[in-house]
Amino acid sequence: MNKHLKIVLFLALCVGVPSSAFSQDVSKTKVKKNVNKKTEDAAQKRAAERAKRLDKDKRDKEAAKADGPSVTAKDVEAESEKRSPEEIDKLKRALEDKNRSMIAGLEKMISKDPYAKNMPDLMFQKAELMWETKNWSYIRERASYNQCLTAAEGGTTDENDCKEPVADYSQPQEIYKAIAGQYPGYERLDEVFYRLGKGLIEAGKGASAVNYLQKLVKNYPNSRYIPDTHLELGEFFFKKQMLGAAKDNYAKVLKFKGHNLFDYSLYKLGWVYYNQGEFRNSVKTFKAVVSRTNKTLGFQNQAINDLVIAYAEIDGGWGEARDYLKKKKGDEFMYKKIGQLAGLYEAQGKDELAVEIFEFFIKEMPNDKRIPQWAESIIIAKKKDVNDLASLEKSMNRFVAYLEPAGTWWAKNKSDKGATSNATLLVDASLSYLSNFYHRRAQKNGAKTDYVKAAGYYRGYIKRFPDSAAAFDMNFFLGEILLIDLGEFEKAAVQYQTVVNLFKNNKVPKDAQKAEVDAIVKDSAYAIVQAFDELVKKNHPSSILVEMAKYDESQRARKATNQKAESIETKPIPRSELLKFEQKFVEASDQYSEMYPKENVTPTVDFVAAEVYKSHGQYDKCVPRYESIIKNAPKHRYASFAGNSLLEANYRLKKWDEVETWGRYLLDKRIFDVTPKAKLESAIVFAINEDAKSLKSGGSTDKAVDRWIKLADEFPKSQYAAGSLFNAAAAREAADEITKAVALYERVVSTYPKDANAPQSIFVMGAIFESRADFEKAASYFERMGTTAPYKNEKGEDVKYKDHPKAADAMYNAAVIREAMADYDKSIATYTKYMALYPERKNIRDLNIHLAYLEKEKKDWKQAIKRFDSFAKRKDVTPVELVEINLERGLLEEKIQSKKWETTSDKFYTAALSKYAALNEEDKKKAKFWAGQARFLQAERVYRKFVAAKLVAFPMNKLTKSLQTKGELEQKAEKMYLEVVAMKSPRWVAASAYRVGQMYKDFSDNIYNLPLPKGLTEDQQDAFQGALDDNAFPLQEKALTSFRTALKLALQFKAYNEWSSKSAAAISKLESDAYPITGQDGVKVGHSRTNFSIPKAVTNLEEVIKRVKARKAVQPVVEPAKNEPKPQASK
Amino acid sequence: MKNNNTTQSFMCRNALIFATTAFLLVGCSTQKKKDTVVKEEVSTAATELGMQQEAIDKFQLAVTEIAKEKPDNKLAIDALTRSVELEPTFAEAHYNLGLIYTSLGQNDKAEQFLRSAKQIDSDVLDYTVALGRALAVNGKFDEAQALFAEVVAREPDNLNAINNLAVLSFRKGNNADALKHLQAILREDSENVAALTTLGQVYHKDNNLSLAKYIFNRAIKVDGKNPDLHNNLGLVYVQEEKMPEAVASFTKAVDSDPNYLQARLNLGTILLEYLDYQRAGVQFSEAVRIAPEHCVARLGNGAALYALGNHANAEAEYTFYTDRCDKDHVSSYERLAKLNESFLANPKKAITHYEKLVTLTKEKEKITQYNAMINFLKSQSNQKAPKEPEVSDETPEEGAE
Repeated sequence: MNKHLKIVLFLALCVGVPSSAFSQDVSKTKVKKNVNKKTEDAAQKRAAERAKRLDKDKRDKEAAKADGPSVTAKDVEAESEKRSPEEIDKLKRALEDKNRSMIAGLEKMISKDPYAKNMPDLMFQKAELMWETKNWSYIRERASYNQCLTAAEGGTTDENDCKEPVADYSQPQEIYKAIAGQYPGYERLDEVFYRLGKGLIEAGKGASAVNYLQKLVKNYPNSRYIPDTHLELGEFFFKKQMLGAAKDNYAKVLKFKGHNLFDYSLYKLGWVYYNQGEFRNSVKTFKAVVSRTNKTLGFQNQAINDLVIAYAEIDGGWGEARDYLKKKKGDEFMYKKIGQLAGLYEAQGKDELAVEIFEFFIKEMPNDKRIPQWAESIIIAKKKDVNDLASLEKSMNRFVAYLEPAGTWWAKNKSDKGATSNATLLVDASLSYLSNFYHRRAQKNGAKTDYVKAAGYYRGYIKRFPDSAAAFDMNFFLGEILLIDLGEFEKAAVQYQTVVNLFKNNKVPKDAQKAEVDAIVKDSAYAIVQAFDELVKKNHPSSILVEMAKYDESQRARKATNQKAESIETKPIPRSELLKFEQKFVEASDQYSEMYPKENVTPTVDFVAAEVYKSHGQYDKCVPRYESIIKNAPKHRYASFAGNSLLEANYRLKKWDEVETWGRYLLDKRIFDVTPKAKLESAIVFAINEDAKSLKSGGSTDKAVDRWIKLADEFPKSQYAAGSLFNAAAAREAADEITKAVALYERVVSTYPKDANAPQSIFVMGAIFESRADFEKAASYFERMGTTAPYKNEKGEDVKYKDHPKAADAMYNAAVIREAMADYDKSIATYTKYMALYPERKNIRDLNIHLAYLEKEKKDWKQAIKRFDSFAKRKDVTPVELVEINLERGLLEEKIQSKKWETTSDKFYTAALSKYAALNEEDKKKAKFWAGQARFLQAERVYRKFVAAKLVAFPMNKLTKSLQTKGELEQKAEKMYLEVVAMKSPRWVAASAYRVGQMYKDFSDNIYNLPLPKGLTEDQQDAFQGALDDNAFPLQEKALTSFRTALKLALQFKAYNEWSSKSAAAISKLESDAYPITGQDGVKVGHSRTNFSIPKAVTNLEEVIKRVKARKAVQPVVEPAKNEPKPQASK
Repeated sequence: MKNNNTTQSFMCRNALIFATTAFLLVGCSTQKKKDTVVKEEVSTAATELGMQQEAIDKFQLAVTEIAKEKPDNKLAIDALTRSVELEPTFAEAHYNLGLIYTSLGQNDKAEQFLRSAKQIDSDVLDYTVALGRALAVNGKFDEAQALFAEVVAREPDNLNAINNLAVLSFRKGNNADALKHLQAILREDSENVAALTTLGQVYHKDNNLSLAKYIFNRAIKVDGKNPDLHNNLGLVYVQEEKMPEAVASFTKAVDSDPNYLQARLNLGTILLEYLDYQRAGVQFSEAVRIAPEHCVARLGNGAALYALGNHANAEAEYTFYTDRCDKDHVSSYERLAKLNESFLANPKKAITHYEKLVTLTKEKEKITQYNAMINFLKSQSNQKAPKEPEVSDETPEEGAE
C-alpha cells in the first residue's frame, strides 16, 4: 500500500509546494502604513510638548519694574521698636491711665476757664496727651501687626489676617486745628503744625498737610520738627512722583544726622535717584543706607534688595553687586541677591546678563541643587536666538551631560527629589527639543546628517528615559529613521521592538489617542519584520528568504522548473538551526502574527516564517504558523499553500491525526487550488492508515481498528480501503477477537475481491476456521486460493489467486483437511489441482504416491494402479519405492482380480522381492515391511494350497501321496514364511510365524482327523490310529513350538496385531496351562478420563483476604429480637 | 607424614562439616526468614479477617502442600479439614478440600465440600464450576448442566464452564451441542487442549476416526505431554486395529503420567490379550496401586496374576471383584473355581464357585460341565477323606458286644 500512496502524496504535495514557496518578499509587500500624517504629527507634537518648558518667556514687565521702596518710615520705626506688644500694652496702660487723668484734669481746667491765658497750652497738652494715647494705641497695633506679619512669614498664620493699623489722630487733630485757628501766636504752634500736617498725611489728606508743614518750615526754621517735617514733605512729594521736591526734602532731612529717620531718608533719596534714572547715585545712596543699617537688618535687607535693583540698571552692575555683596555680607547672601538680580534680568529680558549670572553660579557652585534651574534659564535664554542653534545645542548637550545620572552632580543631589526632578525635566526637554527639531528638519530637507543627528538625540533620550511615556514615540521615530532613512536595520528593529514592548507594558503617552498608539505599534511590529527580512537578505545569502525575494508574486503560477520540490520520496530536510537573523525574523513574524492575526499581511508573514523553518527541517515549527493562516485567513490566497504545507509538515512529523485534520479542513472549505480534492482524500486516507498503525504499535488496538474501519467506511472506493480492513482484521485476530476478525476478513473478500488483501484474507480465514475445527469452511477457503480469480498484487500487477505466495500452502492444507475428513474425492481433486498448479513444490513427488493410497482408500483400484504405475515410471523413483509400488501393485491386482490376476500379482510380488534383494542394508530396513508382505502373500498362496490339499485316508498309497503333497506344500510355504521372518518386519514376522504354527497344527489335525478305513479289525484300527498318532504328534509338537516361537517373536518385536493375537489364541489352546488366559471378561480397552475442566485451587492469601472481606461486608448485621428484654443495670 | 595426613584429613573433614553447617545455617536462615514472613502474613490476615489464626495456618499449610509436585494429599486434607472445623464459613478451605478429593477421584466428598464452598460464596464462579464437575462425574448431569449454564450466563468467556458443558453434552450423547460448545471455545482459544481433547473424543464417537486423529495430533503439537491426548489417540488406533500404534500411544500416556489409571488399564488389557503376561502384570499392579478399589484394575490384576501363576494373589483379586464389584461375574467365578480346584487345593471353595456358576448361567452345556466338576470334586473329596463309621439309626441289641 504504502509505496503507491507515497507516490500519490508526493504528487499532491508537488503541485502546491513549489509555486508557493518562492514568491514572496516581506519587505516589498505592499502594506498600508497605519501611521498617517496626522498620527505622526500628533506624535511629534507630543515630543515637542516636552520641550515646551524651554519656551518659557521669563520677561515680566511687572517683575521687571522696580516696585519702589518697600520700606516705610513706620517700618523703620517699627523695626526700631524693640518692645513686644505685651510690653507696649503694659506701658500703654500705664500711660493711658496717667494720660486719662491728666486729660480729665485739663478738660476740667479748660471747661472751667475757657478763656484762660494758658488755654492754648492746656489745649495743646490735652491734644498731646490724646495724641500720645492714640499714638501708643497705634504703636501697640503696629507691633501686633508686625508680629502677625512675622507669623505669616513663618507660615503659622495667614497674611490676610494681618490688618495694618491706621493711626487715628482725629481727636487731637481737632484740638490742634483749634489751637492753630484760635491761637496763631501760640508759641508751640510749630508743634501744632507738625501734628496737623502729619495727622492729615496719616488721614490721606496730603495736600492739606503740605500747607501746614510748609508753614512750619517757613515760619519755624529752627523748630525741632523741621527734619520730620522735611521727611513728611519728602514722602508726600515722592508719592506724588515729584522727585525733585522729594529729593530736596530728603536731603534736608539728611542735614540732621541724628534724626531717627535719617537712614530712612537716605534710603528714600536712593529711590529718588533710581526713579530719576541716576542709577549710579541710587546705588551709592543705597550702599550708604546699607552701611548705616546694620542694626536694623530688616530695613537693611530691603535696602540691599533695592540696591540690587539699582545695580540691575547699571552695565556690569551685577558684577559690582556681586563683589559688593560678597564683601559686605558674604557669599551666601551674595548668591541670593545676585540670583534675584538674575531673575530681574530675566524679567527685563536681559538674557545675556542673566546667563552671565547663571554661568557664574554654575561655576561657583557646580554641584548646587539649583543647577537645573540655572541651566534651564540659560537654555531658555539661548533658545530665544533662533539663529544660534549651535550655541543652543551646545548648551543643551552640555547640560544633558552635566546632569547625567551617573555624573557628579547627580550623585551629590540624588537625595534631593526636587533637584533631580528639575534635572530630569530639563534633560527631557532638551533632548526632546533637539531630536524633534532635527527630525522635522530632516523630513523637510531630507538631509541625512539631520537624520543622523535626530537619531542620535532620540537615542540619547531613549537611553536616558527608557521607560518614560515619551520613549514610546521616541523609539518609533528612531526606528523610522534607522529603517527608512538610514538603512540601519538591526538598530531599527531594536527600536521598533522597544515600541512594542512599551506598548505591552502599557508605557504609552497618556495624552495619545488609542488609535494613534495602535497605529504606531502596528507599524512598529511590522517594521521589525521588515528590518529582519532585510538583514537576512543582506547577511545570509543562502537563506530561503533570499530565494523568495527573487520571485515576484505575479509569477506564482506554476513555474517550478528549477526549484527543488520537497516530497515524501525525497528525504526530509535535515534539521538545522536557523541563521542568526532568520531566527529574529521568525520571532518578529510570530510577534506580528500574534498581535495582528487578522491583518491582510499576516498570512504572508506567517507563511514566510513557516517557510524559513521548513527550509531548516523544523517541521514542528512550521505547523502552528500554517495553522494560523488557515484559522485566521481561510480565504487568503496563502491558505491553500498553508494547508498543503501543513499536510507535508505533519507528514514529516508523523502527526497523522493532524494530517487528517487539515486534509479534512481543506476538503470542508473546498480549498482545492493547490491540492486537488482527490489528492486530499488520498492524503487523509494515508494519514488515517498511518495513525492506525501507530495506535496499533502503541498498544491501542481498539482505537487502531476503529480507525481502519472508519477509513474503509468513509472511503470505500479508495484503493486502500481493503488494506485498512485487512489491518483491522489482523489486529482483531492478534487480540484473539476471532469472530470479529473473521467478519472483517470476509468483508475484505466480499467487498474487494480483486484487492491484494483479498487472497491473503482468504488464507487467514482458512487458518482460522481450521483452528476452530470448522474444517469444511477451512477447506473451502483454502481451495479458493487455487482459483483463477483475478486481483492486483502489491506491485499493481494483474495476477490470479492461484499465483498468491500462499496459494500453494492453502491448496495443500485444503487437501490435507479433506483427507482428514475422509472426503477422498475432494481431497484427491485438491491434491491434483495443487500438483498441477505448483509442480515445483517439494512434496509433489511424494504426493504422487500418496494419491495412489488415497485412491485405495476410495477403493478405486484402477485409479490406484494407474497412479502407482505412473510413479514407478518416474526417472527418480528409488529402489525402496519400487519395492513398495510393486507390492501395492500386486495387492491391487488381487483387488481387481482381472484375468490372470494371480499370475500378475505374483509377478509384482516377485518384482518387489527382487528389488528388495538388491537393496543395501539401510534400504532394506526401510523396505522390509513391503518386501515382507510381498513374500508373505506369495507364501499365503502356497499356504492356501497347503490347506486345500486334503489327505486321503485310503488307500494307503493315496494317503501316502496326499501326505507327501501336503508335506511338500508345507515345506515350501514354511520356507517362504521363514524368509519373511528373516526380513524382521514385525507385522509379517508375527503373521508368518503364526502361519507356520498354523500349518503344523492343520497338518496335525488333518492327520488326527483322518477317518478310519472301513473293514479294519479292531487291532487294525488301533494300529492305524497308532500310526496316525505317530505321524500327527510330532506335527502337533512342531505346531506348539511354532506357536511358541510366533508368540515369542511377536512379543519380541512388540507386534501386537491380529496375527500375534491368533498365535496367542492358538497357543493358549495348546498349552492352556502355560497360557491360561488370552483375555479377561470385564477387562477391555476403552478407558478414558472424563475431561471436565477443573479450576485451580485458591493459593493466594491476598485473594483469600479479599474474598473473606467481601463476604463479611455483605453479611447482615444481626439485630436483637424485638421482644427481647433490654439489659438492665444491676441493682 | 602420617600425622600430617591425618591432620590434613581431619582438617578437610572439619572444613567440610563447617561448610555444610554454614550452608545449612544460611539455608535455614533464609527459610526461617521466609517462614517468618509467611507467619507474619498469616497473623496479619487472621487479625484482619477476624478469623482464628490456626485456621489460616492450616490453610497455608495445605496450600504449600498442594503446590508440590508430589503432594502429600493426606496432610493437605487433614490441614484443610481442621481449617473448616475452626472456621466453618471458610469457603476457600472448603473449595481446596473439594479439589483434592476431586483429584483423588473421591467425588462424593468432593461434591460435599465444593457445595459448601458455593453456598458460602456463590459469587466465586470457580466454586460453581468445580461443583458442577463433581456433580457431572457423579452422574448428576442435569444439576451439573444448570450450574455450568449459570456460570456461562454470568461470565460468557469462562472457557472452563463452556468446556464442561461440551463434555456434559458429549457424555449425554449430544454431540451436536458438544461440538457447538467446543467450537465456541476454539473460536477464542484455538489451542485450548481441553477443548481439543473433547473434540477428538466427539469425532471418535461419531466414528470419524481420521478427524479424531487429526485433532488429537494437532493437540499433541500444542501439549505433547498431555497423557489424555495420547490415551485417546490410542483408543482411536485400537478402533482402527492398529495395535502397535495404540500400544505406543498408551505407553506415552503412562510415561507422561505414571498415575494414569485408564491408560494403564488399556495397555494392560492389550498386553494380556497378546499373552504378554509379564508386562500386563506390571500395568495392572500399577493400576491397583493407583486405585486400590478400582474394580477393573483388580480384575485385570487378578487375570495377570492368574496367568503368571501367582494363584493365591489371583484368588484374592477375583474374590475382591466378586465381593465388591460384580457378584454375578461368571468369568471370575470360573477363575476362582479353577484356582481352587487346580492350584490352591481347595476343592470346597471350588465346589462353591462351581455351584455359583450353575446359578449364573443358562447355557445347558455349561451347566452340565459345572455340575460334572462339582460331582468330580465332591467325589475327590470323599475319596480322600477317611471313612467314618456310619452312624446307624438302629439301637444296638442287648447284650451285643
